[in-house]
Amino acid sequence: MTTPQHDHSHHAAHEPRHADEDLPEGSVVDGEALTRSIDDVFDVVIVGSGAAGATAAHTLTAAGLSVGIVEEGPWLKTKDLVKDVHSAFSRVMRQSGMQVLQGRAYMPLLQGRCVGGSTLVNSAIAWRIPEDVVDDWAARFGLGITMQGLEPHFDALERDLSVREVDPSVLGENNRLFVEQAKRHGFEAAPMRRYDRGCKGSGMCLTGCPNGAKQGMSVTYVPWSLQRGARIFTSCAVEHVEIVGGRAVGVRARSESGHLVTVRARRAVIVAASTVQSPNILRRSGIRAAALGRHFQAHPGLAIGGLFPGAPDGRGAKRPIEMAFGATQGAESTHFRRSDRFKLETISLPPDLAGARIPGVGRELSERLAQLSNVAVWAAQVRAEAEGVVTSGWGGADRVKYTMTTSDLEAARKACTLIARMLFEAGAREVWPGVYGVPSVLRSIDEVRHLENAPLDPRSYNFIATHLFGAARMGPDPSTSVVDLDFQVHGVAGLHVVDSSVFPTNLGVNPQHSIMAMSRLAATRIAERTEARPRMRRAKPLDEAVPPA
Amino acid sequence: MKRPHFLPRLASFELAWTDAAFDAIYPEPPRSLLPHGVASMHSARFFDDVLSAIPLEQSLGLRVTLWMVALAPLFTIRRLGTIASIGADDRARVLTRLVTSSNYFVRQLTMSFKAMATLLYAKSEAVRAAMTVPARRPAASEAREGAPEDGKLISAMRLTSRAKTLTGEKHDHAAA
Repeated sequence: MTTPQHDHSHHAAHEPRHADEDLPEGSVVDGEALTRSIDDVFDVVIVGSGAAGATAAHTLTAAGLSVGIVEEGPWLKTKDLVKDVHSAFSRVMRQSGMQVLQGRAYMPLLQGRCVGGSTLVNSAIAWRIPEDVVDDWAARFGLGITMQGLEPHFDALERDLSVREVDPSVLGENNRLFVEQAKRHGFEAAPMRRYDRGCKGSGMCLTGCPNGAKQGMSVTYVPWSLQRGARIFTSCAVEHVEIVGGRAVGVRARSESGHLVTVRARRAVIVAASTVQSPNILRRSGIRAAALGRHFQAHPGLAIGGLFPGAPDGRGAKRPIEMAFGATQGAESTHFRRSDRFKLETISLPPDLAGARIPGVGRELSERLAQLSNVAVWAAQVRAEAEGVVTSGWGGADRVKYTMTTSDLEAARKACTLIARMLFEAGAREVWPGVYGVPSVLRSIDEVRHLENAPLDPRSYNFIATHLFGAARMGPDPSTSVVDLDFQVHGVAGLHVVDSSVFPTNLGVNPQHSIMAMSRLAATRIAERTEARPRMRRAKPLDEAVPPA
Repeated sequence: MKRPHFLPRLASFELAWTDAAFDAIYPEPPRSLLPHGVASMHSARFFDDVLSAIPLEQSLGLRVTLWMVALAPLFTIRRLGTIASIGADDRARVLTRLVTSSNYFVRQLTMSFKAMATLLYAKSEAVRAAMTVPARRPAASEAREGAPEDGKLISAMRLTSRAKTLTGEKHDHAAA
């Protein structure tokens, strides 16, 4: 089931440069340009084209099934990517990047809403699910998933998507300094493993890789699935899954242009719309499981900046950090994952995002921004024990209620303190903790003590939620879970959920790789249960009135 | 979810408040070390366009923020007037007070306002260059070149590449 690798290095001028450019005619139905209602049918309909949906599509098309993918957002092609955050986020992020988790504090929640989902705008970090998490799922939740069972799927993903360690030539100073400092501190840190085919260190993972080097779904599994006969309906928001006689038979969506899009499924409907959207799609489809929307978990993350001297001073950094060059996120440490429930990693913030977090306004702010090339940003993501609830709010908007526990905040505070200490020891002359109740600028390592006593109040920290789990969790008991051990919604034949909403807990590591492996496992099982067609059957071309993208 | 477009666009006085508040965050030289201020980038028009493009809830939140910032001089520095009617130094004092307020909502809303200003400001190539290219500060002539032309939010200035870095040359303290 391995996909032939595409070599883009020596294309003639007339050939498309990226995999998202050369698509079969009629394989993309653009909901922004749709001029009438349409009705189409496939073996399997998949809701969402992110890590989970695209992986399922790729797996099922490889098994000879016809697949229709319904994606709420547009397809932003590699050649059309822009580097400023506002233009990128307003096009491809849910709620233009202004979505928040609501609790005692508001926590920004970044989710891609485009072909490829968040894989277009994340750092493509590949972590296999930790074995202790799999064991915990088996012991506490009765899941029959094992590392042995997942390994072939991880292997295939890593072959397909070229998982490799960040090349030293594009590691960049922010990442290199972190690894060096962690080792000085006596704990393990290393360059990350990412989905990378020729990273040039543009530092633009968060606005979409301009070189197509990041192996996100919009340049890999989605176009590869279309080459095998799948069809994608972009800018079409699913209203609900059609369930007839206890069986899922298709989805009903609305195009951006306002037309009804009915996509029927002969065999299965797979919901892979993310932890926030999938539960609400199920809810709108009439699913009333007690656990639906509950047990939402996250990895709240926070970042701390350190300003280094621009010239050699004998204390530490001898060169500019220059976050604008190098892997956006290229180094990490899981040393504290089990003992203290946090993971450390680097993140190179573009000026568009860094500016808001740097202390001061006016001249003070400009003085710091003028030295942005001497700033390093290191971050922590907390494996928070807190659980939230996904609901449907006013006007049908997705809403998540979530507040971190005191224990989570203790973990965050410890991580902040450690990062601040590491930055000073690496030679920083200022550290910006961004924690209310602590001076906004720390000027010496002695002042790190303020962080040790920082308030344990979620309103004091500037967390961002990026990794989401639960809310449609898996389990054998319909009273405590939403999907069964085969990813099928309890009591509804042919309706599956394959994204991280089925995870019973968070992981403590970046989840994309695990989401994809779980999705691949689920899709493989669905394909095995379904009578595979002897030959690949292309979806019938739609009526001429349907404009191809 | 698309935002219903029934909220009115910003009124002229709100546009003036926006310009003044954004200017307090990213002022023109000499009150800034960066090549130009955000005022030359049509900040009020940008903010108005953002409000009309984002979901209703967020749009309302940012509009409330604008009013809060606009009327803050009275509560922060005891000056009768709006953000647009006080001097540049006072505007900076007001924004500083708000962004460090002990009230969580005031602090966070002001932070979101600062984030909006930053999203616009970082669109300027001259500003990005001044922030991110350490060895090459734009000269005054380049700064002018990088400033947006009339009616455009994004300038067309091209950056010279950092050829040395992009070739992946190893740095001094490479990790083992």
